[in-house]
Amino acid sequence: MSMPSPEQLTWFLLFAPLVATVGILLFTRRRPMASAVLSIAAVSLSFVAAVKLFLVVASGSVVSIPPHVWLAAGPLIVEWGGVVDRLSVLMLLVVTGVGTAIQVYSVGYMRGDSGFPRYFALMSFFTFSMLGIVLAPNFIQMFIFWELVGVSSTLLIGFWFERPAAAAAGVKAFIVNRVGDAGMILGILMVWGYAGSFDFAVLAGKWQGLGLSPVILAAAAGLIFCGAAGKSAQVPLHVWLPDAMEGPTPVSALIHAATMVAAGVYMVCRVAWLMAASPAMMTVIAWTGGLTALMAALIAVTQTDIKRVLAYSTLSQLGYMMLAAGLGGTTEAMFHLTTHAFFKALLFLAAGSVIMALHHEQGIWRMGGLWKRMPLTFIAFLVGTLALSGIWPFSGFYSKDEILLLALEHSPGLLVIGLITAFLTAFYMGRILWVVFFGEPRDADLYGHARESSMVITLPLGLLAVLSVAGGWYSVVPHFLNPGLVTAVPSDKIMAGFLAVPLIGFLLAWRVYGKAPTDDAVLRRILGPVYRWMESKFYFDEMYGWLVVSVQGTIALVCETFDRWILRGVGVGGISGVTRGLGGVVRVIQSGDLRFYLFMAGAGVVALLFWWMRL
Amino acid sequence: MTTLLLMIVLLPLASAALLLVLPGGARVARGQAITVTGLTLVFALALFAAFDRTTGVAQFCSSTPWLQEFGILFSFGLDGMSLVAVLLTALVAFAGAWVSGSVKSREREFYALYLALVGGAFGAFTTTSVFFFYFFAEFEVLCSYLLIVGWGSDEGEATHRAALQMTLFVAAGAVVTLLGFLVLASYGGTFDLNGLHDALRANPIPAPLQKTLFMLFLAGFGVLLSIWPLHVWAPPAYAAAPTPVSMLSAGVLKQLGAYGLLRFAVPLLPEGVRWAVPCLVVLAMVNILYGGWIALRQRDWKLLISYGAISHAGYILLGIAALNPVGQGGVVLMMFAGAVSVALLFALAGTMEEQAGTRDVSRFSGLARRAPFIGGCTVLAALAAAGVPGFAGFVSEVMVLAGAWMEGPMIFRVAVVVGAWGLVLTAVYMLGALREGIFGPPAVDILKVLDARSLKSRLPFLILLAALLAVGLCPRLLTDPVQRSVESVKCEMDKP
Repeated sequence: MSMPSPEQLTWFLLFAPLVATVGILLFTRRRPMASAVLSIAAVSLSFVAAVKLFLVVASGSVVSIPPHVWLAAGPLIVEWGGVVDRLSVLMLLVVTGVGTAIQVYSVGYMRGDSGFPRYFALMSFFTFSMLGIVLAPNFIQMFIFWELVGVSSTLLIGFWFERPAAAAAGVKAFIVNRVGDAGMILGILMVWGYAGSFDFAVLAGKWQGLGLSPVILAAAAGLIFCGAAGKSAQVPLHVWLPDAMEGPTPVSALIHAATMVAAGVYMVCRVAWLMAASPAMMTVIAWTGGLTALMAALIAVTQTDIKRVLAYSTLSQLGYMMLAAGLGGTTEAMFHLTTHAFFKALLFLAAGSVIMALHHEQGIWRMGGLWKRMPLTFIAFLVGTLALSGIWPFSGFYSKDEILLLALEHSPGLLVIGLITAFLTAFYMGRILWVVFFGEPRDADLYGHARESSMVITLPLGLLAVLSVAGGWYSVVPHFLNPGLVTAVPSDKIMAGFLAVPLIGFLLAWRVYGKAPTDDAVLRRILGPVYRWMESKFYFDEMYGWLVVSVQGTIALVCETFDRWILRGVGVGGISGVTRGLGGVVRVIQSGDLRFYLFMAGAGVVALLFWWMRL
Repeated sequence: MTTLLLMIVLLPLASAALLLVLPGGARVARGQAITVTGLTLVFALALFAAFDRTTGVAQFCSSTPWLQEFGILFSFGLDGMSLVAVLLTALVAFAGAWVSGSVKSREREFYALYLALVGGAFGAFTTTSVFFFYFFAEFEVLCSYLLIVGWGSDEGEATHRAALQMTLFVAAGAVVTLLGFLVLASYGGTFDLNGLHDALRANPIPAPLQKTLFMLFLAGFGVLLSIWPLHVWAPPAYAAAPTPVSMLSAGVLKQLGAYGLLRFAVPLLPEGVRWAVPCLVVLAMVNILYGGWIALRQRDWKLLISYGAISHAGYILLGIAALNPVGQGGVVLMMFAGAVSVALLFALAGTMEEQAGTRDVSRFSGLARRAPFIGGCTVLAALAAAGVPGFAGFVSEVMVLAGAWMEGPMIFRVAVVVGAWGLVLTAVYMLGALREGIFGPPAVDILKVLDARSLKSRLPFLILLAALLAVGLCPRLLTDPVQRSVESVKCEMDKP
């Protein structure tokens, strides 16, 4: 048997998960295990294909599928193709690799759920859509998959759709993403309008040379960044992500930590030429990232639901990535994206293991002392925590340091923000660690029933733990992305400083939470009103609520009232009054006599002919 | 193929007449309606397959002298635009006949009128004679009026008021359109569309008259297309109509307005349309936002769908105003996407209403668990209406917005921004309805809803979904034939 060509591998990799979705929907809707096997087989085969493509790309070539014309209308030509280069193959590995681990884990987590086959159908559809974004060689194709990712994410967040909170969270995610996407499609049309193409390769070659004004360059970059801000949940479009935790935990791990939310960062890296053309917009992107990182970390300190802490932590780390991308550090952003995918997926899955053991309890103040009961889960969570906080030699240390070094080089303000965030990260993760795993059990009943999870859960944890430890060693990822990269070895003083910051955070967390408190009273007392602000998530949801209900709602109410009472009442009443005045025609029309209508139709035709003869 | 094209018009009309004359029960009548609309769907697909995609001129033309002394020919032909219109009519008509099982009184008359309505739509979309276009269009309006009055689902008073409003508006629109056609025909000296083209190019209508005529057509067709503020009759009428009639009137009759503008007003009155562009763009923006905002407040499935359709009519206007092949091709595609997705939504809402006796969205909370197929289809239909890629609506929206962006004036830029915001609004009201009416904790009323379990009962929904998906995934199926036609219209316009 001959080896499949790289093009065939790419097609296979993209469509295998879609085949699984269709297969589950058509054939195995009643057979849970067959559905899971189909879905896992598809994603793991895609992973194998991704590894093969990785080897091809690592040898120095770029795989591109010859484009077909998908839509042609005058100057509007959209092609369909695929490109596998260093950037996309890395992302392919992350999506399929982490995806395989999480789908295996799901078999344990979702066991017994009545929607088990639907779950795997949706997971496979998500994988397909996400791979589509990664492979897209042009804006429209990317946008198509971009929206499909939004749809599958919505349906997975609202997976338990009978719970009003889950249904609302899914819809909220879709709408917030739509706001970003509306900006993105405008940006895409704008770029097309000025450059006459959607193709990344074509645009990259000519965009800077078009001689467009800085305002236009900034507007195009800014509008397209709107899409990235929606998907990657950057301020002020971040509000959907914490609510998205209503979905099953493996979904949070795959979609709302490792892959989909990274799509915005990936896209900014993919169209770096577009962003770089507008230095002003780059600054905006970097500061948006910085602001998101800091704000989310502040909120994370106050959250009491273990998944919500991780969700805000995800926001915060996405902020780091966006910060790096805004400073022109594509490599640094992608490096952190990769390591973050490992350790945040690990953290979510470990949290899921805890949640399962405690019968779907998610409040941290009902947990405690769990390390004795669930040692494997504890070790996994510890590894994830250390990696996330950036402790040497865990993967997060390397990738976060690269971003901090970038900030050190370009912007002291962002460096300060980055360091404060690093401190806060260690603090809130330390808090979780101490409250959940150490101290005394706070709910004896829950604690008594807690058991370590089964192999199908712990095996993926182990795999991701290994990656979370070793993912940053020797800077493999940056060197692969950028073979010509010369890593400047920073001075020991700087490294020690970067390492000291999270250690101080841990120390402080131990001081505050080490003595098995039962709530956040200490912090609440120290911080006072600031704490309330943080706890209320800086009132973003309230602000949007006001905008939607008061502003949009009032406009809608005015329109409806106008439609019902003015247009229909006065307009229709006026016309019918006139008609009635003209001889009671209305009463005749209302009589419902068929012959009359036929007569009228005939009369109309006769009148028409008569008119014509007179001319 | 030429015969086939005539058959697609005459078969439903003849069969309607037969139904009225021959005896037979309700089952026979319904069976006949399904068979005939099924045949027209086959014919439409055959025409689609045989259609020559390399040319923009009308194909399968036939012409029989009818009243030659008045220059009236019984003439038919199919270009890309009418091909799409025929396809959408056939799809909606067949699905509509299939879901018509709830009609329980005077069935023979109902199906006769239904078939007449379908035949009238085919006639209007395929004729190349202005006279017959007007004739078929009015015939169609008359049929749908009778169907709403006679079989409306709302209690008597509301149905009558809705039908009365419809009559007032549609009759006024008809008078205005008739006036326009008569002036056009007297200038061109013929009722034949091609003849009119040539005559009016050789001897153009003076600009001031063109402007007047265009406004007449805009008002006349605007009533059908439900352009603000001529839309007020539409939502109550669609809501009151029996399900298959809602599907046909909101799906097909509405597109007749777009078709009329694109087929007659735009190419025959180039000066007039250019003058009216700012007006069209402003109306487009009003329609998009106004329809969307009102839809936000609707708790009645059918009213929500109707106001959503008014919002969509704004995109159609915007595409027409763009006056370039991209925008106008987008309009034709949007006619298809709009008709099929609105018909699908009405079919689903009708199914729910017939079983649960209510259209209140919140009364169906939790339907997705009780009736996975109906619930799942509603989710997909709502996504399709919200312009999610993979469905035809997305392609048409991109084309319309791109076409509008290509036009220079600032007002188009503003309209494109409004159009993009309209996509958000659509998502808000469609997904909001899903949250309340399909997801959520189970409500009492959903116990009355039985899921469509057999392939037979699923067929109409599957056909409409498949059509939306096919065009959404391979848009060239429709854009290629359409593009040739709208480009040839464009060439006509560019000639001095």
